[in-house]
Amino acid sequence: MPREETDDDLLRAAASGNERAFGLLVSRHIERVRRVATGFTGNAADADDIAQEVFLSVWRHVGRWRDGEARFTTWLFRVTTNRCIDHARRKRLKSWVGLDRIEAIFASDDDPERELVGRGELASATRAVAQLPDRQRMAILLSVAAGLTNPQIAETMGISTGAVEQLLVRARRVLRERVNEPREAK
Amino acid sequence: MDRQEFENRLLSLGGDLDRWPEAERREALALLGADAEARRMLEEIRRTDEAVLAAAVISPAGQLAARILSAASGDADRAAFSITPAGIAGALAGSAGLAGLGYVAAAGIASVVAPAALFDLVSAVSAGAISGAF
Repeated sequence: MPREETDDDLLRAAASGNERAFGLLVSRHIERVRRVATGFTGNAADADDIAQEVFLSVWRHVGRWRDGEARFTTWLFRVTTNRCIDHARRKRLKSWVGLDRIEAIFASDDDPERELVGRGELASATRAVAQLPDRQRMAILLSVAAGLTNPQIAETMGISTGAVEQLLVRARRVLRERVNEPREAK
Repeated sequence: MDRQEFENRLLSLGGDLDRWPEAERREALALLGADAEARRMLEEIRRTDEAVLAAAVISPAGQLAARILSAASGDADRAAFSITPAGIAGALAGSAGLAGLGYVAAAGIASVVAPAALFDLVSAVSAGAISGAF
């Protein structure tokens, strides 16, 4: 039975222009990137735009990849983190100047699964995640939705493992209260 | 591991004990076997993590992967045929009678540094998307 190609194998091939190898990397990791971006932005279309930007950035810079210096997923989620936080900043700026209200008139989120979440039992949980500060939100999503360990999150976010633990503790404290409070209080 | 320590680790590591370091997991399991309050804490954090997963629920990707691959393929095509300063220099060199040498030099450099790719690289580095390690 042939050995499954590792991320490093695929990166080496992609760096020499092999589009099949890049395609395998995309299919292997796109789901986790979309989950993190969806949880962060709260919007499926924005998340897909971010996922596309992330993978195209990987493709454009894959030639700079150096074997053994870091895990591919660290690089991938670092780009994802930067794009998500940049998206949040742009959104806040649009909100400040009022552009978001104009866009909302023309935009419609036609993702049925997210509409269900928006209407159903999980709406308050989704809102609670959306209301976390950016870095806490990203840390908890990298932990739960991407399945990274705390040291991997630290490497991805460029902070210490202790700082990651503080972000996760704060995020879970807030969410625990929101998720587990009696329903009539919500 | 006492209850307070267990709560701190729960908040930091989450409710999936299989992802905890082995030594801490063993201590946590021992506590859970003896302490109903610890079991309640674990259930709360599990519900909390489920809520995070719910916020990150995604629908099938549809054509997204195909769109990404198509865009990447377009990038590769543009990089191969784009006009760069090096390409212009090569063309001028060619018109001055050094056609063969100029073409080879221009084609080689153009395939490595296309304007779009260069712009994206600078943006990514300035945004911290790529560290020195890459």
